[in-house]
Order: sequence, then structure tokens, then C-alpha cells
Amino acid sequence: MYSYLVKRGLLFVPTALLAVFIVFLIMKAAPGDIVTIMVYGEEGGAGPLAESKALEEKLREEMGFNRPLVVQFFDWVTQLAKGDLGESFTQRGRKTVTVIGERFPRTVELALLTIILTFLWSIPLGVLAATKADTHVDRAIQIFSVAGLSVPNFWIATLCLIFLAQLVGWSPPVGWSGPLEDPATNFKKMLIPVLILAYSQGAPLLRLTRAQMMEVLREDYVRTARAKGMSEQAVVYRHALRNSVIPIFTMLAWDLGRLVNGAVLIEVIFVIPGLGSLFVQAIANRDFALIQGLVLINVLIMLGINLIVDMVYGYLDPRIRYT
Amino acid sequence: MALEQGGAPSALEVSTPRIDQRAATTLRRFAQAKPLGMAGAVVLALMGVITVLAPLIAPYDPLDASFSRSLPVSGEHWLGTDPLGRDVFSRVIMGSRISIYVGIVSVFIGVSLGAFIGIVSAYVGGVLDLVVQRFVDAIQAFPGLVLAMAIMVTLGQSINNVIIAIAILLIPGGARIIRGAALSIKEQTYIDSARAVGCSHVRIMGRHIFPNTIAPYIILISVSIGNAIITEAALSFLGVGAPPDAPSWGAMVNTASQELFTGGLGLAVGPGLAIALAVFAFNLLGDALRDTLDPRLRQR
Repeated sequence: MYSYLVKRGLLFVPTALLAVFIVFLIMKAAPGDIVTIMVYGEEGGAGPLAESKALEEKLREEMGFNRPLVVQFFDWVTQLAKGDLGESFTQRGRKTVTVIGERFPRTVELALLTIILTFLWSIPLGVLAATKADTHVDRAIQIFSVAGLSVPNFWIATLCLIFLAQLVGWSPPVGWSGPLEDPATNFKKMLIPVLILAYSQGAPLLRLTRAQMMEVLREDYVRTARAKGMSEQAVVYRHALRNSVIPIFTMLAWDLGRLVNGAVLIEVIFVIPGLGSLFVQAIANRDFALIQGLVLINVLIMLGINLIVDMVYGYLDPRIRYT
Repeated sequence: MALEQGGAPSALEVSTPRIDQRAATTLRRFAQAKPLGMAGAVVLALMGVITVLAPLIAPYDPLDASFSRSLPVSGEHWLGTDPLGRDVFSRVIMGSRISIYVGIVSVFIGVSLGAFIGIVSAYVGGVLDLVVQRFVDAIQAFPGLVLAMAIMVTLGQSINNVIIAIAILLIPGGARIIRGAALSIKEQTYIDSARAVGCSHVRIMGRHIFPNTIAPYIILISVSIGNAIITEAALSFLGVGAPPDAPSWGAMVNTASQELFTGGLGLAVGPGLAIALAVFAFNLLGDALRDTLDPRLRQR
């Protein structure tokens, strides 16, 4: 088990660096960088050309942008080895780690609340659909779940805000307040985003639960359990669900990983200052240091979650052993 | 030839009705076994007709901004007008050209490239397989929408660039799934036989391995189109997808989100409903195709 963990841990490093390098290359290929934006503004505003050129060159030299790409990347990696992700260009003077650290708990709160709600609604409905397969109940649940997959969450969010604004004349509170400082306001601000996210996250999980349960409910040991006279509830929850749990748990964990990396659209619409909206700002401003930092965090979270998932498999199913 | 001249029906004449008949029977069986999938196919066929005939169906020019701004739903403007004074219904109809085109083309390109990479990676194996799989891991490790945004910022706003960005997102999934299928096919005895009779590597991959991965390939295409349409809409919603004037459904939802109190309800409901309907239909059809083509599900 430990040698397996070490091997997996060592694979982290090249994969994470490769991901960051891919994004580094993509962003370097983008027309215009933070220096262009700083000198000419977003719209490429007018100014004395010669002066602007000189300023541009000076800034590029100061920031080290005039060196070869590979050198810039290795500099960043060396800095990283010292635990430093560099400074955010758009929030001058602030460390990238500080900016990300400030946003991180907000996204984590959104992600955790969403995952709890997703778990609570989608798995029981998936089990119900499987046990009532091919009945009206099953079809109704299936249509509800396919709708969840098909309706974009940013449209539900927009509709929600518009209907509340135009029909009720009320605009729900947006933004973010600390859950410890002001729990009531925090709850009000989180409620609608969490409900919308949980619906769209839960739909594929519901379908997976149904499919897994349908497969397991056909197994011989389920028939044996029924033949022994066990109650249907015990058969479904103690035998069938327990044996369907691995793929369901995997999907739930991946969903958590993706959410912790930032629910981009919902954060933008509800003005939640989390990692998703930070990513959008960083990309719009070509803030390389911030983008690289965020990508690194993203990759580490996803790889970390994959590793945890693999370890938990052993507990969920004692037949799984790592060598 | 002599037989044909002598009045007997030609091979072509005989086979055409047979093929038609077979296709009709297959369709009927599909409709009976998978009514929801067939419903999806019918909705998509209707949407296809609307997409092709869009300029004839749209009552106004989607770029004509000469109407009053943010008009409510009326007989003249079925979905009202947007804040720039353009007819929303015409823009929704014309928007189908962007969404459905982007959805189908990007998925086809992305999954095909992924399948190509997956087959080569599985067949060659060794260091190439290891390196390719690390690239796949790396791309899959960060959120798709964010990667697509980064690519769009680099390439600039245009429909073709949206296709490229979405196709790139789909390559890793395609590569991983088709590689898995190709790995088991590679070990089959008919591949050994092909090698024994002197087939080249390219021929083995193209003529023997690829045709046997066709079921997961079609399943992957059919289940990815809905997601691709949503990604296009999301990119346009964030302002990095289709060009600003283009009647993209996602961009229209964004306009609605910025006019919460003053925008018409038609602008909020129309384009989103169009996205949802198209994706819903593709998902229903995709599910049905998966159930039909996946041998494990078919046996049940």
C-alpha cells in the first residue's frame, strides 16, 4: 500500500508540471499580455507611441518577459520549489498564494454544501428509480434527471434572478459573507447557487446510481437475499447499494474536485468571489502568475482526489488490495 | 450485364428497395424499443430542418437593430426584442446554426482525433503510450471550461475557434476510452493473423482495430454533442465564444442576465429553452444509441 502511494505521489510531479506548462504555452501564445494591458489599457488606448514603446520594454524587462520561454518556465518552477508562486501582476504587491488562499475557503464552502445536497437528493432518487424500473415513477425520475443534464445551470440561474426580479420585485442577495461572522446572510447568499449547482451535479449521479443498482439487483446474491426472506429495504440498501457504491463514490469525489476548483459560471452570476471567478478575471487580464498558480492548485486538487478515491476503494470493497 | 439488358432488374434496382426496407424496419424497431430516443431523433430532425431553413423561417434579419428596445412578447415579435432593438425570435432561429453546427463539428473532430491518438497509443505501447497518457492526465486535470476559455483568449473570438477549443477538450476523453477498447482488440487472434499475413501497422490500425472500436466511438460522439452545445453556450455567455454580434444562444442569455429588471422575458426564456431542447434531444438519442450499441446493455 505504502509503495503504491509513493509511486502515485511521484507521478503527481510530472503531471502537474506538464499541465502548468501546457497552460503556460497557451497563455504565452495569446495576443497581448499584462504589459500591453498596463500600457495601452484594455481597449488599446491612444498615447505617444515612442514613450509607450519604451515603457513597454522597461516593464517587460522588469517582469522578465523578454527572456526565452523555457527560462521563464524554469524560473517559475525554481521559485515554486521554494514555496513561492510569485506575485499577481494585476494585484501588485500581493502574493499569488495569498490571493488564492483568500478565495479558496469560499469556493470550498460552496462545493461542500453542493456535494452534501447532491448526495442527499440524487442517490435516494436513483435507488428509487432502479427499484421501480420501467414504471411511471422511473420514467418521471429519468425525465427529471435528463432535464438536469440538458438545462444549462447558468440559464436556470439567470431565469431565477429575472423571475424573482420581475415577478416578485425582489433581487436575492449576491456576493459573499463569512459563515462565521454572519451565518444568516451567508445562508441567504449561498441558498440559490447551491440549489442550482446541486440540481445540475446530481443529475448524472442519479443516472449512474440507477444504472449501477439495476445491474446489481440482477445479481444472484440479491436473489438469494430475497429468497432468505430479507426485507426489501435490507436487500436494496444492505446488499445492492453497498455493492454499487464504488462508481457512485468516484463520481461524487470527482464532482467535489471540480467544484472545489471553482464553479465558474455560478460564481460569476452570483458574484461569489471564489476561485472560479478569480480564474475568469486572471484569464481576462492575462495575469500569468495567477493563472499558473490556479492551474497548479487545480491539478493538485484533482490528482489528490484521485489518490484519495483509490485509497478509499480498499475500505469500501475489502477485495481491492494495492501492491 | 446481359441479364440486365434482357429485362431482369439490375443489382442496384433490387438492392435499393431492400436497403430502404431494412432501414425502415430498423427504425421501426428502434422506435418501439427506445421511444424516448426516437422522440429525441424526431426533435433533432425538426431542429435540423429549422437550422437549414433558418433564413426563410426567421421573420426579421437577426442583426437588424431598428426596432424599439426591450419590447415585450407580442404577435409582431414572438419573443420580444433585445436591449439593442433586435428581434429575439429571429436571433434564436438563426442561433441554431451556431449551436448545432459547433456541437456536431467539434465533437466529430475532437472524438476522431482522440480515437486516432488512443489507437496509436494502445497499438504502439511502451514509452509513447506512457507519454501520451501523461498528456491526457494533464489536460483532464483542470476544469474544461477554464481550459476552453484560455484557448479562446489565445485564438480570439470566432465560431471556428470555438470548435477548435471544444475539440481539444474532447481529445483526452476520446483517447482514453478508445485506447481502452483498442488495448483489448490488439490482443485478439485476428490481429495476430493480420500481422502474420504481412499487413502493415497502419493497415492493422485502420482496417482491423478502428472498425472494432466503432461502437464506443459512436456512443462517445452521441453523448458528447449535448455537452459541446452547453460549452459553446457557456463560452459565449462569458463573452469569449462566438463574435459579439453573432446570434449565439449563450450570449443572448448573458444579455438577459444583465437586464434583470428591464429585459423582456422572451429574451430570458427563448434562447435558454432552445439550448435545453437541443441538448435534451441529443441526450435522449445518445442514451438510446448507447443502450442499443453497447453489447453489455443490449443483452439485458
